[in-house]
Amino acid sequence: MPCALLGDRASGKTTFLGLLYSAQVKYGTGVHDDFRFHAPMASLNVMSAVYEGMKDARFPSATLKEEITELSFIFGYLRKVTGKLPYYIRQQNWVKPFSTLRFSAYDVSGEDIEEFIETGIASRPLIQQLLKSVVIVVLVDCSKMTTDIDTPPYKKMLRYDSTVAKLMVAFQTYKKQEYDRLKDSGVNPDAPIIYPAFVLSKFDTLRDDVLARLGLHQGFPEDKRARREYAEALLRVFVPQTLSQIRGGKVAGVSMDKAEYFLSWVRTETQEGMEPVGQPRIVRTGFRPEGGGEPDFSYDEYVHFIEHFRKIANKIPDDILEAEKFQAQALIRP
Amino acid sequence: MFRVAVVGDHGSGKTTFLGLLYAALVSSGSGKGDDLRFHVAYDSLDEITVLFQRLMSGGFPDSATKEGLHELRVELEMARSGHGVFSRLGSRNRGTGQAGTIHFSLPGSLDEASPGLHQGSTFGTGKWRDALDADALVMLADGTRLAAKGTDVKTGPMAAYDGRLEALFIAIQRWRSSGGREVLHPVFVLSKFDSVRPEVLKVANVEAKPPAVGKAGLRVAYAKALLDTNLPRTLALLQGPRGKKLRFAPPAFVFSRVTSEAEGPDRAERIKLRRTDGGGWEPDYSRDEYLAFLEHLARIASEAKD
Ligand SMILES: Nc1nc2c(ncn2[C@@H]2O[C@H](COP(=O)(O)OP(=O)(O)OP(=O)(O)O)[C@@H](O)[C@H]2O)c(=O)[nH]1
Ligand SMILES: Nc1nc2c(ncn2[C@@H]2O[C@H](COP(=O)(O)OP(=O)(O)OP(=O)(O)O)[C@@H](O)[C@H]2O)c(=O)[nH]1
Ligand SMILES: [Mg+2]
Ligand SMILES: [Mg+2]
Repeated sequence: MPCALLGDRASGKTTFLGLLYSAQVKYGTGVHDDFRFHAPMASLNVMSAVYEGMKDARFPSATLKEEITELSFIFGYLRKVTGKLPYYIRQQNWVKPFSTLRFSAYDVSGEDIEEFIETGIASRPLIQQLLKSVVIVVLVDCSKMTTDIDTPPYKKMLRYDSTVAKLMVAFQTYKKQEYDRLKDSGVNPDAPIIYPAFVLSKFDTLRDDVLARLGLHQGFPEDKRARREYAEALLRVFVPQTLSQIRGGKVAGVSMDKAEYFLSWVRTETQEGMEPVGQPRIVRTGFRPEGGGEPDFSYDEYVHFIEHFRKIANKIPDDILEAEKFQAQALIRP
Repeated sequence: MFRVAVVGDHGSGKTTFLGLLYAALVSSGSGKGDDLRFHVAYDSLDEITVLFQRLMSGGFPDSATKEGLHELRVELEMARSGHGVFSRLGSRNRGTGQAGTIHFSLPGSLDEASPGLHQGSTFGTGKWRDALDADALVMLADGTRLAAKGTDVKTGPMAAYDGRLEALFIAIQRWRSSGGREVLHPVFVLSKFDSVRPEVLKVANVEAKPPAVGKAGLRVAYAKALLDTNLPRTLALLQGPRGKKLRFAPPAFVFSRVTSEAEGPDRAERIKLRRTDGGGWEPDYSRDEYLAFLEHLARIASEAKD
């Protein structure tokens, strides 16, 4: 079961992938070896190049249309409770079975998706693949969160909300139809479920006056429930249709209401009293002129993100693979 | 499926009404409470999201473009009522629960679709079929066209509309004399209620504001004080003896209002937006009325199911 990462043009998809790459390197090479990350060569090259650029204080350049290849990666989590593993796996005596989840990133303002939204017809393979997703990660760009009505970002956010709401309903409709089809053919399928997650991208650009309007503190809370309330306060104002349709999934027979929320931010240099010109420069920690230093970003949130999917991977893995095979598979599958 | 047909003359506020109904659904369905959940059918989303974007940025529906709203299909679930705005319209305070699918359709403007209307024959085909088969018929009564009590009923601004509504009901009665649903729920939407002429209210001897949504009896009296003058034939028909098969449920009344900002030399008439509790924006409209209407719908739809 694939996972989809959705975001608008310039919403921070590439940056997110670069930072995720860096976070997994740091996190995945810990002593435990219970998390692994793999990606096809092309994607891995992009992600690491993006991160290298960020170490030089640069954001990635806008992804050109010609460059938009499918970016994907795979999370693998070590299965601990061997007792619960399917019989065929226990029989093989694998040393390290990993549950895997395969993610693909999609540009919702891309032509394929726009055409699909308009016509509702999933003719392209990309869309068919997208609709099969059970995990849906939506990037919501905090730099477009404004309460100034007559501004382009306000209108853009309204439009983005409509688009994502439509996609959510498309996912739900697809899942429900699939379920009904299986049922009709005598199978007894599990009730359809989708796991949504939101990444509030560019969180550092969220304006103080917007937070104040919404009655929110500046810092994102730690506690799980408080996190949800905080994030939903933002979504309620900026993507209300999406939020209502996620919650309404259950009414249509597709459970989708256990959304999770993550932040992504990168600290950028600000000149006092000056309007930023061109691309902002990234602030680095541990920076030394001769090299080294890392972008100052929301590492903990990326770890949250990785850990969140451990539970899901154990429930609904794409696949369960032995460690060695997992890497090989990741590399060959497109 | 529970079918709701929305009818009215050209420009009476049909599209605005459904758009605001969707806005009420979205704000409750995304709100902090969990008393309302809804799901929109994929086919309906294109039209309604365009309209929503428009209303949320202060525009009235654009009647000049081809973009329009023809239907809206939602799956609705509302929690048990019994307090605040939700106990109204003679509700028996029972939990409404699953209302199931509600299909709203806008067959068109009554004044533009009626060459054969008085014979009641041309309704049998096309989109007007939705009105003939409806479980609930929502009739817009344009508040700006209400005549003051005492005016000659036959020449009043709504006389022709009254005749068309009456003809529609007769067509429905005939259509269902041999089958179909046996109950029809009439709903009067007094639209543009922010712009009713003050003397209309004064002569009718009613307050400037309609009674709150919980006050069922007072609301009926208030609405009738205005509509008796303007839609007498339709009201008489609804109260008259029941037809062979079809029964009319007691009518419900919705007072719809959205504050508008007058057009200027280089600016079209716009919807005034107001701050929501959550810090965002929404049209400055009679939200309570819309929520009460949704609850009414949820109740009659779930009753129609059992
Ligand atoms: N301040 C700040 N800016 C960010 C952050 N993430 C992205 N940006 C800015 O947003 C721009 C777009 O980010 P990308 O990651 O390229 O977005 P994308 O979705 O991949 O864009 P396209 O692929 O071109 O559609 C970057 O160039 C940065 O200027 C962040 O966390 N903080
Ligand atoms: N002041 C005020 N004006 C309203 C209200 N509702 C509608 N209007 C005005 O009435 C006009 C027509 O409203 P619509 O909702 O487009 O009416 P309609 O019945 O769908 O019109 P057609 O589809 O063109 O026949 C709007 O452009 C507004 O100028 C309201 O509640 N208050
Ligand atoms: Mg990109
Ligand atoms: Mg209209």
